Amino acid sequence: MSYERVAAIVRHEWLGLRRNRQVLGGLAVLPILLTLFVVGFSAWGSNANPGSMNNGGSTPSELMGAPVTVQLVVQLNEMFEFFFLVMPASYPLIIAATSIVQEKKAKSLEPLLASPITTTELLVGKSVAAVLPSLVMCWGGVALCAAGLYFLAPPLVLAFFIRPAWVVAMSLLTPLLASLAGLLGVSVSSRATDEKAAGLWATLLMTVVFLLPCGLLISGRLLSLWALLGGALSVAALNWLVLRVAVRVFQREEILTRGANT
Amino acid sequence: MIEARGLSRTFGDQVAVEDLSLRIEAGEVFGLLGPNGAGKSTSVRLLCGLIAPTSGSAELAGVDVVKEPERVRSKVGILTETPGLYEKLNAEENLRFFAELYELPVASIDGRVQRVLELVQLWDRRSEAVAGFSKGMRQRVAIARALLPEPPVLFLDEPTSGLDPVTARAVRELIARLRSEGRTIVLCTHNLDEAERLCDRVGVLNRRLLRVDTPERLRRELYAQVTRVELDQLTPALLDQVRELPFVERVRAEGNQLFATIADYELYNPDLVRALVEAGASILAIDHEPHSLEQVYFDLLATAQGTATGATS
Repeated sequence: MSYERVAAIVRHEWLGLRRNRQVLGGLAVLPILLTLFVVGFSAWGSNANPGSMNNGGSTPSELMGAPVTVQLVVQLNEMFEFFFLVMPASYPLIIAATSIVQEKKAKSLEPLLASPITTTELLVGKSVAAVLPSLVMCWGGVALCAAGLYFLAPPLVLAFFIRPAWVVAMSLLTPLLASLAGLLGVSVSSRATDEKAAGLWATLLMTVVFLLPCGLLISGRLLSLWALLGGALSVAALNWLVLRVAVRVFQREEILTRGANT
Repeated sequence: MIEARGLSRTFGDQVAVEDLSLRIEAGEVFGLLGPNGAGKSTSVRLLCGLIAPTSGSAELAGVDVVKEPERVRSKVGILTETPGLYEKLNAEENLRFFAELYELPVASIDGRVQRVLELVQLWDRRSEAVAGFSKGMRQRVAIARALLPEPPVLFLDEPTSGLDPVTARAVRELIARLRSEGRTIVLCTHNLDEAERLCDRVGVLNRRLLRVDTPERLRRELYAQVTRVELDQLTPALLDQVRELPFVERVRAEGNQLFATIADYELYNPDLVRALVEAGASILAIDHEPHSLEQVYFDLLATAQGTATGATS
């Protein structure tokens, strides 16, 4: 596999993405909103009057003795964390699912396939290009959250936000899930004949992709660091498998000859 | 440079190309002629490793197109049926992307992009989005893209199809210039005049390769030349006398014009004139009527169709 050609595909896709402000804007909205929610709620909630609030009775050991408001903020933040975890998987799936089908429609795929690029390079390039922007925005959002919590929330809230299991999940599991989504997206795109079909299949697959982190992290604190590493390894293996299948089902010849009888 | 041996390709139960065997030398411009559905584009795709043959083999610049299709594709420039450009990008960005896909040395990309865009006369408009380009301009960008890796072999699929006459002429001139640079070019075309002017040899294809030769030799081989003689008066007796001449294959009359089919007009035209003068004819004008490649083409196709019909009936 030529990494130069993969990089060429990635640069090319980004160039197209930069020209499409609607997509770029759509990518940025959710991380910004999540950041505002996490920081805003943590700052406000931690200092709120506890009154008759209770935490529902499931206090993790690390939070024992902490004010009820802090316990609630931390638990609510866990919900937002889940969104941070799966968000970079949702965008790539949609972007990747339309990337090849759009090229088929514009008839730009034939010259592309006539170049020395291999199917693996094409699929990896397209999927990386779809994954990186949302991943960068997500990580940017998480970094901003951490900075906001450092300045505006009690130390315990920040400590819980950057706990090792969560950092591992964000730095390892999230990119792997996003990559899996990207690969599934390009697989769908290479088989689909129009954008609507690609979109429908992408939505269906998104549900499957979301089940993985749901299963792994119904609650982050239930999983140990090792369990997360094991989960990441499994998703990495799944990535490899999906890439192999995607290359196999990519019908290069059919794409080139579809509709042509000469 | 290119050698195909018994290449065949079927799609389902439909035969697209059957038993294609040909050899194209380095520096040659080879025309693939044929009607729609004759297998021209499939042949091109087979020869440059885009699709695999059902049977047979081929080599391009010494590389097996079946075993090493990626290497073959790195040695060819292809102008596909449709330009297939990225509309939102400008001409320069379109070309840069392909320069990177061909892994051209980074230091050479600027120079090469400029050179090919100058060659197709679009350097001044390099920063404009391709979406605003005319059909002809897009075709020129696509040709520039095919030339970018400076490939030893160029495949041009219908390069002037759908272009206005002025743009088509500009594209033809460009191909002629590439020809003079010594590139090997395979040109698929419907335009027989174009093939006649640009190609060293042509192959007439109708799923099978019906004939391969130079346009001139095809004409000579398939048709003798026709000499047209305009007389002040053409009598039946004179017509009979011409018919008796040993080098004349056929004679027909149209008013006072006599059309004599002669095997080698350069050799026998003086004898024909002498015979007419000796028979007392007054010659007003004489010239010869060459058969066009178009006539050759239609004849070959009709013969092939007749054979196929005969075979199936």
